[in-house]
Amino acid sequence: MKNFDQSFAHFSRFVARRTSRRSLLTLLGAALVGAAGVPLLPVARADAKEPATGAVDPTQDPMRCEYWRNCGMDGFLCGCCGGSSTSCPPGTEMATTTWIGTCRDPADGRDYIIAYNDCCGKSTCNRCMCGRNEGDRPIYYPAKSNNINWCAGASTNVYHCTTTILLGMSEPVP
Amino acid sequence: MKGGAGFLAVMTGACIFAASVAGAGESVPDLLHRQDSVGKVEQLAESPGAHWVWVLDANLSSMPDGRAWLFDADSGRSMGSLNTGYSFVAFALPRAYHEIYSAETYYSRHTRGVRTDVVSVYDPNTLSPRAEIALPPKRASTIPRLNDSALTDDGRFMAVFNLTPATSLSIVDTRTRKFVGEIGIPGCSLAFPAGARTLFSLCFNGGALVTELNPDGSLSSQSRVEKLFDAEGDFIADNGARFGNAWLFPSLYGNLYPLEFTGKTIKAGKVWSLVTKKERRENWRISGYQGSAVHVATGRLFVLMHQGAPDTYKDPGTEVWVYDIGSGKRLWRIALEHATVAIGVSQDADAVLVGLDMLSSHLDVYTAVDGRHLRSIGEVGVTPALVQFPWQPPAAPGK
Repeated sequence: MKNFDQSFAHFSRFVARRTSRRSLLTLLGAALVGAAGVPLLPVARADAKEPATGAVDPTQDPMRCEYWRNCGMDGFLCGCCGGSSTSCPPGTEMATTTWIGTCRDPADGRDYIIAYNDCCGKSTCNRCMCGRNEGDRPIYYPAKSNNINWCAGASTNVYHCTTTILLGMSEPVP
Repeated sequence: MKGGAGFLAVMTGACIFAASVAGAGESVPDLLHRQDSVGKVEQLAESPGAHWVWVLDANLSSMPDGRAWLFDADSGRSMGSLNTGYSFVAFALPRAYHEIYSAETYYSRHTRGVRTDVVSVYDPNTLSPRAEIALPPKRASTIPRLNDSALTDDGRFMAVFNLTPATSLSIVDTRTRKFVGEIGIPGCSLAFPAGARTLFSLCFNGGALVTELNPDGSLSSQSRVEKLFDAEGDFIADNGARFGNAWLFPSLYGNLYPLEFTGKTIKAGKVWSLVTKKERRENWRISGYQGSAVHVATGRLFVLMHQGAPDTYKDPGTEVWVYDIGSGKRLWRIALEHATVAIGVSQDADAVLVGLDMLSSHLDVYTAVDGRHLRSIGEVGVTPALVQFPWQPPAAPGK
């Protein structure tokens, strides 16, 4: 029990340090919410390649919640769980149904469409919680709600962590 | 044989202990009677206390192990618990509280294997399973909301929200203990009771879908009601509070939207403001996952609030604001002990307000009449997210 308590205390401190208190409360959803005015559409794609990274700037570091692609993130970063920002940890399954949004890369000032594919089949990773509720909507608006577990689109509904897969450049937002 | 050996060991120990303390005025035979009985298991009272409250714990750090904890808000004592499976959300509680209905998901190998969705029926006195009703394995997995399931007002049919991501309701007959059927609710989500055999679901376009059941639980009719609220602008929360023939929903920018139901339809009631213009400019915002509650007998509405930008509308609340529902007048503000994600109000005359802090795992208890802090109960779960009072008053004014 002692170890369990310490583990959870560590988890709580981690969450408090890295995100606001709200984030733990919304950790399950993997929907994405992007820039206003950009339609959020279901996407069936789970084969994107990981881009080269390594920048010190936190907005360019996939291991940081501040990473530019995480604008709609609400879950555990798969890079902290044995996977990467674009791949699932060993033994899990990437949900092929997800939701997309738009994040701006400050490096080039352009907007990109990002899919937040969940990795499913193992219990919650509990590492690198990242919650950013930009544009989030209630559950009755699933296309924009990050309080829904999108492992619903996988063969198992057990949520583990979330990836950020770049699908392409977005059209300019009017 | 093993049990017999254990009994002898206990008896031997008791004799040694008795011999060592005898001489202090008590005989050895007297001391031998100082034994506790073995095997005693508590049972709860037939009727729940007015201030008993369930704390619902999705256990987000280990989701296959959902739990619910029953506390006495007066004493702070834990009364017992239930284990409720993967991605647990909330119970559906009949007014008589003769049973507890819980929509649950299980995997045969903890996080893998065959998925089984059920409604578990629990005995509220023994906190043991009484029956199990199989569901299609489609139950929605969400951050907890009370209306992921609902019981019709006649207490017979339970609706369980499904998301695959197509949305539907699984209807269960609690009397026959059978799954009746699945009813699609395209474009809409959740289930709110709105009559003897009627439910409604909120829709992404700002409308609602009303679903009426036949006496056997099968679909009788469905109708859509449009433009009840602005889903893109001043959208309402996905959690509200029931007051008679209306559900009251606070909105993003601090308005109160009553959705009133009569017969087979729903209409928008008069919208009123929860905040002043100054408070709106100061970004006072609705909060939490269970951000409102009603004390029916006095017609008072309790709304969880904090200051923050619009995107923080699910953040924990720092205050509860209390309103007279009839006049829309705010009566007072209550400063909370902890950052609070869920509030509830008991329905007795000497009502208590409870607030739940998910991260520090505290249940704070206040007087509902003036918001005086009575006590804080710690260690109320791993990631507790919602509260439910089992006790209901005999009659509900305003109905």
